Amino acid sequence: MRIADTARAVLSAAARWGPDFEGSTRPAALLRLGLAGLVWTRFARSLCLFKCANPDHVVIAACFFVFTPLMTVGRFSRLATAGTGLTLLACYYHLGMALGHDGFVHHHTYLLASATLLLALTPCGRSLSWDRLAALRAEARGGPPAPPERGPLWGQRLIALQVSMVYLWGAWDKAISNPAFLSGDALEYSLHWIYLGSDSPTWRGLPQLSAAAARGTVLLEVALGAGLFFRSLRRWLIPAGLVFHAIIYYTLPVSTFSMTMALLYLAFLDPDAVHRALDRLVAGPSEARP
Amino acid sequence: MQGPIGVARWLRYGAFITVSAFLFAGPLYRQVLGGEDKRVRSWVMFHGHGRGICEVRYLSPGQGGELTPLNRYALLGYGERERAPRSVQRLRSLEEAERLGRRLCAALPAGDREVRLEARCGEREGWRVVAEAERDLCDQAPTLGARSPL
Repeated sequence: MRIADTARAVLSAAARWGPDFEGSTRPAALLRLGLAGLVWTRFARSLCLFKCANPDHVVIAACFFVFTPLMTVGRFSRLATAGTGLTLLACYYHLGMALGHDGFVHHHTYLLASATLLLALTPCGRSLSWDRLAALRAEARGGPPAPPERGPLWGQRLIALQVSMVYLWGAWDKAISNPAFLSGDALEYSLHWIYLGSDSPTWRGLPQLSAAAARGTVLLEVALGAGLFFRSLRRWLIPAGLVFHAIIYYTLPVSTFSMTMALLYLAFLDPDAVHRALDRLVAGPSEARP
Repeated sequence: MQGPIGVARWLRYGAFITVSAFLFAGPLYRQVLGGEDKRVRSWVMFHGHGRGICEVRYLSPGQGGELTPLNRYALLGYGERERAPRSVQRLRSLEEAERLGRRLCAALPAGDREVRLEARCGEREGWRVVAEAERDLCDQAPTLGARSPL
C-alpha cells in the first residue's frame, strides 16, 4: 500500500508540475512578443517577394506576413501563434528540406518553430495583447468580464523541456559522439575556420584554452539542462547561461540561437513571480513601496 | 459535467506525454540509435564545423641553413591574409597544401627554391600530423610561374 501511495503522490506531483500547471499568462505573453521579434529577425527578409523562388514560397511568405504581425500585437493570439509556428515548420520542411533552400534548415530555425508551436498551447494572448485590450473594453461597456490573466501553462512547461533537451542532447553529442570535442581540437577547427584560416595561432596557449572551454561547455550544458528546473539553482545558472550564450553569439555564427535560448529561460520562471515583477516594474515609486 | 471535463483533462495528459516523448525521442533516434531520417531533429550543433581544415607552415632554409617560416601571403603578392582568396587562407587537405607549396616554389628566387611543409589536418578523432617538413616540395614544382595577384 505504501508503494501505491508513493506512486500516486509522485504522479500527482508530476501532473501538477506538467499538464495541470497553471499560472499567470504574462510570461507566455512575453515569450509571444520575444519570439515574434526573433522570427521576424531571422525569417522576414528571406520571405520578401523578391526572395521568393516559386509559388510555394510565395504562399508560405503570405502566411508569414499575415500571422506574424497578428502574433506581435496579440490579435487572435493563439491562432496567430499557431499559424506562425506552422508557417515556420513549412519553411523548415518544405522550403528547406523538400525544395532545397538550405538557409531554412538549421537548428536555430527549428528551435524557433518548435517554441512557437508549443507557445500556441498556452493562452498567450490573455496578457499584454490587443486581445486583452479588447476584452477589457468589452467589459467596460457592460459585456462579459475579461478573462483573468491566468490559465493552463502546460505548453510553457513543454518549452522548458525543449530547452532542456537542446542542452542535454547537445552535451551528449559533444561528450560522447564527437571524439575531437573534449580535447579542444573541434573548437580549434572552428577557430581556424572562422578566424585563423590555415595559419598557426600566434598564442601558444590556445590548445589549453580550447580544451578548458570544451570541457566547461559540456559541464555547463549538463548543468543548464538539468538544473534550470530547480529554483535554488536558477539564480546561478541563468546568469551563467546568459554569459555563455553571449560569448557564443559574439564568437560564432549562431544567428538567432543565442537570443532564442535566452528568451526561452522565461519558461522556467515562476509565472506568478514574473507577474508580480511586472507589476512592480510598471507601478509608480509610491505604489511599489509597501 | 464531469464527463467532458474528464475527457479534456485526459486529452491534455495524453498530449503532454506525447509531445514530451517526441522532444526526447527525436534526438535519441538520431544521436544514439543512429537513425538517418533528417526530418527528425537532432541537437548537434557545430559538430563537424571546420573539420578538414589544415594548419600549415611553409619553411625554407634561411641564410644559416636553418628552416624558417615563409609568409605565403607576401610571397604570392597578396600582402596579408585578409586580402588573399579563401583557397589560400583555408587549406583543407594535404594535397591543397602541397599544391600551394609548389606555387610558393615558383615565387621564390631561382637559387633559393626550397619549400618544406609542416601540416596537421582536423579529422574526426582530432588533429593528425600529415607533413613534417620531410620533403622539398620544389623537387616536384611545376614550371608555371606564381599566380599574379593583379
